[in-house]
Amino acid sequence: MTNDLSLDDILLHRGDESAEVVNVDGNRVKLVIFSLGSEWYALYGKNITEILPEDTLVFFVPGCPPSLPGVINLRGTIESVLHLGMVLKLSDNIESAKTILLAKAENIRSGLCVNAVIDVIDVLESDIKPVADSLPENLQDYVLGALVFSSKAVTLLNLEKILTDYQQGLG
Amino acid sequence: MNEQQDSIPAKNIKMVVFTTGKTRVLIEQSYISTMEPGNSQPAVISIEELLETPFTDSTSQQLKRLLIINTDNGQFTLAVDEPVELQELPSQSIRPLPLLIAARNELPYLRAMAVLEQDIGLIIDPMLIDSKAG
Repeated sequence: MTNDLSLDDILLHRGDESAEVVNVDGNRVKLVIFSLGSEWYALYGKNITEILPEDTLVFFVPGCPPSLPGVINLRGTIESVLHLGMVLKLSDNIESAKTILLAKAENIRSGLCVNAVIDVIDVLESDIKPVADSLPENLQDYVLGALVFSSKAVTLLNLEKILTDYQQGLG
Repeated sequence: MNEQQDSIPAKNIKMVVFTTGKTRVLIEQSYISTMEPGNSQPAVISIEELLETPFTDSTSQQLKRLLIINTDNGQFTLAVDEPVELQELPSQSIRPLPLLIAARNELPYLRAMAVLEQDIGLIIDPMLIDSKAG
């Protein structure tokens, strides 16, 4: 029986395989996945500083649009609370959004009301795919990409644009 | 406390505090010349009208208090629900409006907020009420 491969060849080949694995592992990002109605969405973990308990008291502020239900007292700091489903003009069961994510982007801080936090995960950047052209009009400017998690589609939102546009009159 | 809050002189500010609905409202005491019982007198403006919140049930026997408010632009009367308290708040408890509230709130006289133990109070600036009260 002839041996066409040397030990050096085999180890060289194996070495290439491990090098490939290291490269793939290098580009991971943290995502916070949550539900709004029956759909799942995500924000980059760098934008979420805290997930607040469901019983966090929201104080009503008169004169604000319905998408801005009030403020919270977070250990002596006052933060606004934004109803993310209303801002994005989603209509599917968003009224029950009671969980608050404390978010920060472009020097704007605010709580974001969502239905529930699903998970906080690390994913490969390459797993985030461009969004389909069929995206609803109300979401088109605010989506960075899409991925699949637990066999369900997840839409990655652009928090910077949502908050800056909201400051200027969105929703 | 962050650095900005720590840099504020540790002084107190006198505030008149009352409640409308579930909302605590504060006005700097220096603007208020007198407080009178008010159920029998017509008010120039009510706090519900000012905050654009539902009026108190007219059949209720909620006691009213009239705040006579003086500003550089003149005097007006504000009707609020009892009880009305005078509180001395540390300056560190006063906070500017959160950015999104400042950008989107439609009440020009909502000036700041105050951290009140378990509550958050809205600070109204009488200098900015005056034009609406006429």
